[in-house]
Amino acid sequence: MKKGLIAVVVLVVLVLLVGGSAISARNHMVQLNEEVNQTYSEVDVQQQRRLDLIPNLVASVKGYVKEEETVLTNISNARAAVIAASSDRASSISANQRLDVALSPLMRLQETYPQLKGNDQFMRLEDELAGTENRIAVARRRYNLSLQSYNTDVQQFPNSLWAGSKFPVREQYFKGNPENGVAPTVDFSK
Amino acid sequence: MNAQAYPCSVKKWFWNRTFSWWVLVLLFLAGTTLHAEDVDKLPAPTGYVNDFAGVLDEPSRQQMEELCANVNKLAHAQIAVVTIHSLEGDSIEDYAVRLEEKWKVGTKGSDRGVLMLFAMNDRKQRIEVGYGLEGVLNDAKVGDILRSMRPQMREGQYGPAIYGGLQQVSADIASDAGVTLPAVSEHPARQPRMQSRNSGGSTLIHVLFFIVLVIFIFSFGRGGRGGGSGGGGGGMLAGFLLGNLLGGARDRGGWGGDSGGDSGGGFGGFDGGSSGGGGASSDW
Repeated sequence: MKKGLIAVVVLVVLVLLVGGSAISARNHMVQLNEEVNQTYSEVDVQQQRRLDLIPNLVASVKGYVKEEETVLTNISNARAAVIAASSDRASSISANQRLDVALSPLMRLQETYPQLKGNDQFMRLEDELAGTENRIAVARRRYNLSLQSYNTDVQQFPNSLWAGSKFPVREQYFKGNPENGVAPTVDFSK
Repeated sequence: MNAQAYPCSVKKWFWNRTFSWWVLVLLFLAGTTLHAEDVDKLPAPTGYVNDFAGVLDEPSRQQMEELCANVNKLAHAQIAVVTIHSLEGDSIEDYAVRLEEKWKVGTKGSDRGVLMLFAMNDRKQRIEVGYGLEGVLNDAKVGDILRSMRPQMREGQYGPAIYGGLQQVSADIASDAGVTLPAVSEHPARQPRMQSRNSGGSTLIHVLFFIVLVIFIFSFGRGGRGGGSGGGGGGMLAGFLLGNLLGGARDRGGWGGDSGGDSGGGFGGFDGGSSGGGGASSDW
């Protein structure tokens, strides 16, 4: 009689412990997951802002740098690819990183074309582009950090028991682009 | 003091050597902490203007402090002016964002804050704009302000240049908020008040440094080799360390507790604003 009671109490305590652990772990995952989504939406906003900025910038330099046709074409193509990329994160991230590479020669144009420095409109557009690039970098860093703490959380024991299929490990980091380490092959002598 | 007083036993000699090396290591560590300018090691802000590089003249600094206090009081926006020696390889954009994450310049919730950062050795300047002011100070406008500061920065007129930039930033914030900032009182070139900005502990540390330094010079210069030839190296080292100490002391003096009522309300710390990389940077 007494043994049975003890067994029931132990069982109840065990269920409460396990259930409590599962509930709090799941709630924490929900919170971290929302943080990942929120920081990614900031990345999205800033990348969208860059997309809107590019046509103006390209138009303002077109008259000055006719020989940079390839640079401008690359930018336009990369921009179109970002717009065409499906809304899933992995493909959007890789399309945007190709746009990073295509845009980088534009940031150095004023070194090659000193007359652009006299162009106020160009200088201010460059400020806007540099500011947007920087905002994107900050947003991406914060997104990466939140993704990292989410991934750590869902993989740690005992959380990993409760993560299930609703909270999988997600690999959509913004990585430093290997192409950024290579000097761009733009021929300015043409 | 008296070199002849040291007995020439091997044990004593060994002890002197070990002691010297320990002091050297300690001084080296102290030197690195004095000069480390990584964001994590930067001390807490002591005012709106934090001249870690020690390049601002006193009148300009006081005018800036007063102007920032007025902007905070009337236009509810916080501006921090920071000068540092070196970015130590970091980019100024990254440094500014991390400093903002640490100091949280700006009002909480509305994020009305501006961080003006100047890295003297790198000749780089940045104005980082908090989320709440991005509409008022867009990147192009901030870029224009930075470009207008360049000629004076190039001439080494850091105080007037930075004050000029600060005036433009303040004017934009004030006109957006619909307030008129009172004229900042002219500070005639009066003698800077060399008050310790830090607590007494820091002064005590400086004094201790000095005492240890003196002991070190004498034990290294004379005790180590017992001849006059060692003195030159010790003297050079001493000069270097002394310069270090005095430089550090000069950087820290000046921001006094009593501003004589000439700054509209004291500095009460920054309130918890945040930024996301808005603003502009340039070299000079």
